[in-house]
Amino acid sequence: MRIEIFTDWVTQIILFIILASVIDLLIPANHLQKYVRLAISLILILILLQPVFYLFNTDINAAISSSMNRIERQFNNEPSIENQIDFEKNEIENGQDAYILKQMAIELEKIAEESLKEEFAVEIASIDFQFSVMDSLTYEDLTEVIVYITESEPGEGAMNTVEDVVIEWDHEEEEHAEESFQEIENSLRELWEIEDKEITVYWEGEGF
Amino acid sequence: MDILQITILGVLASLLYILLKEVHGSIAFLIILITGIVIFFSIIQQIQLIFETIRKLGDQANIEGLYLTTILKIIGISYIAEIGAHLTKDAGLNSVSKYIELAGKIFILLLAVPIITAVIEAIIGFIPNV
Repeated sequence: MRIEIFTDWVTQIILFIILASVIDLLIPANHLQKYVRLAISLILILILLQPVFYLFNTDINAAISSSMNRIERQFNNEPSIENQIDFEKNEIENGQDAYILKQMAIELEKIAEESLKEEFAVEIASIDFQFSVMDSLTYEDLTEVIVYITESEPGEGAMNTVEDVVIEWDHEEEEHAEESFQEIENSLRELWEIEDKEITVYWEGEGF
Repeated sequence: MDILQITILGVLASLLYILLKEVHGSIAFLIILITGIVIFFSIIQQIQLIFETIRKLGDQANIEGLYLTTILKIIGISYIAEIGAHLTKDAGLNSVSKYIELAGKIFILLLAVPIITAVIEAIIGFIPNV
């Protein structure tokens, strides 16, 4: 195993030196020769140092290809800084939009929480917003508010009664699911004062 | 193309050039240009053979493909820069030919830079942090 690595290394050196001499003959003899020789000797250094890399566990090929990629990237897309700035700007804007939507959902949840619990014994798990135009998060473009609901957990102090009600209602819900959804939608529309937008209610995990 | 053909072509081109130089400088230069291109393209196939041999040898020796591609790229750059520089020099534009050579140097160094950085980083990595 060890001796194999050693012989491999020695053959590499010998063959590379032979190759380098051939290449030295190939290149046109002018000022460029110096530079070509420099590059070839650097590669020779790398090959000579291979056992040392092996000892120190350095992945020299990864290092070279990473620095090569870096240079190529710099070289190929000159307006890369502009692209990067654009990309970062979009990222920040998306982050802000997501934050705004989240805050809005929290507010809406707060408004509807109480009455939903009292009337239907459900609570909002999450709220999704659908916009007619992507990337344009305005009230005008808002087309649909999708509300995911779950059964509300029994509140404090009213353990017994609420538990009973939930079981009763759960039974009923199977039959009148559609109606109760309609009712929830209507009451949400009233609470949130959204008249001209669609509100759709789903059970959490059901999807559409 | 044979070496004989290439030489004859070169000699003929130079004769034509001498004849035309006084009458039509621009056409004379065109002759140089065309001759250069024809010779270059006739050589390319042979160069390909040599490159393939180098590649095969390198693969046998387990030399990294990355090193070999770098070397071959460097050879190509030096050839192209050489041809361009000589052509412009023949046209009497010495400064432009110098610029082409400069560009060739820079591109070769650019190819060598990753290797230089890798070597330096590796050597720095060997030095223990005390």
